[in-house]
Amino acid sequence: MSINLKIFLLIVVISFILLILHTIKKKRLLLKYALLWFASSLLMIISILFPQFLSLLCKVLGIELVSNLVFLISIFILLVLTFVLTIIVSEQKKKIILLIEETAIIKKELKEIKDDKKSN
Amino acid sequence: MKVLIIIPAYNEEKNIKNVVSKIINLNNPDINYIVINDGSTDKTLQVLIDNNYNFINLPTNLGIGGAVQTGYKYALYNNYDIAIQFDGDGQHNAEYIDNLIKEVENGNDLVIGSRFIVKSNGFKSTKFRRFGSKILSNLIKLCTSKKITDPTSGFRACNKRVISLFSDDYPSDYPEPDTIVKIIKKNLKVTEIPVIMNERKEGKSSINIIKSMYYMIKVCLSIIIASISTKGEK
Repeated sequence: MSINLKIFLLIVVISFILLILHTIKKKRLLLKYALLWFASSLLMIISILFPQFLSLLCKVLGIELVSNLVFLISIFILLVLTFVLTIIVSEQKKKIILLIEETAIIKKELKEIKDDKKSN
Repeated sequence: MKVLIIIPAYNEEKNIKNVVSKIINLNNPDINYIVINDGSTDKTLQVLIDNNYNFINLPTNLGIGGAVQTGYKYALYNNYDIAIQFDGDGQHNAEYIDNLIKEVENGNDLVIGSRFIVKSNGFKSTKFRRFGSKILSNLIKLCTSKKITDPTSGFRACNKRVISLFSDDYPSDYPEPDTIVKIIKKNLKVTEIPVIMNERKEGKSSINIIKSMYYMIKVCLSIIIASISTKGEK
C-alpha cells in the first residue's frame, strides 16, 4: 500500500469519525447506535495502519487476494448492521402501535368526560 | 357478566350501520359494543359520529391486529368479563353471540365461531381459501395436538384472562391462528361452536388471491414460532 493511499484512507476514516461525533453532539444519533460505527471505523484504521495483519489473516483463511478478504469483512459488517437496523425498526413499530392504541383510548375517554360535563 | 363486542372497521362506510344495528337490536343490557375505526379513508368515521355510536378512532391504519388489540385494551380498562370480536363487514351473525357467551361461561377461555363444524349452506368462502384453512388447521393440530376447524375465524369470544393476555401481546397482521396456538400452549381452554357466516355485502375483502401465498407462508411461520416459544402456565 503506497503512503499516499494510506494518508488518503486515513483522512477519509478520520472525517467519518468526526462526522459521527458531530452527529452525536447534535443529538441526531444515539450513543448506543454510534458505538457500532465507532467499532467499524476502528477496524478500518487498524487495516490501514497494519495491512500485514490482513495478509496474515488471508493466509490463515486460505484467501488469495487481500481485497477479497476486505470485501468479505465489509459485507459481513453491513449484513450485521442492516440486521440490527431491522430489529430497531421492529421494536419501534411495536412501540408506535402501542402508543397509537393507548392515545386513541385516552381520546375516547376524554371525549366522554367532556360530553358528561356538557350535559350536566 | 359484562360483555363487550369489539367491532374492527376499516373502510366499512356501507356495512357498519347494518352491523352495529344488529348488536343494538339484541337489546341485551349486559352487552355493550365498541367500534374501532382503523384509520379508514372513507366516510366510516362520519357514519359513526352521525349515528352517535360508541367508537374509538385510531389516527392511522394499524391493521386488523392493532384495531382488535385496542378493543381488548378497552375491555380490560373498563373491566369487562367477556370480549367478543365481531367483524365490521357484516360477515358475522349476531344470533350466535349468545352461544359464544354460554361457552365462555361454561369455563372455556377462548371460543371460536367455526364455519366448518357442521355441513350447512352458509358462506364458506372460496375453495382456495378453504384449502388454506385446512392446511393451517392441520399445522395447528401438529403443533398443539388440538383440532381447530376454522383457525382464521375472526368471530370469537374470550374471558378476562385472555383479554388481559391479548392486551399485552397481539400480533399486528393475520393474528387469529397465531393467537389460538399461543392460548392452547398456555394450557388455556379453547373450543369451537358452529356458526353460519354471510358473504360480504359491500366492498372487497382485505385479502386477495395474489397475497394469499405470502399470507400462508407468514401464518405458517408464525404458528410454528408461537408453538415453540410459548410456555405453558402452571
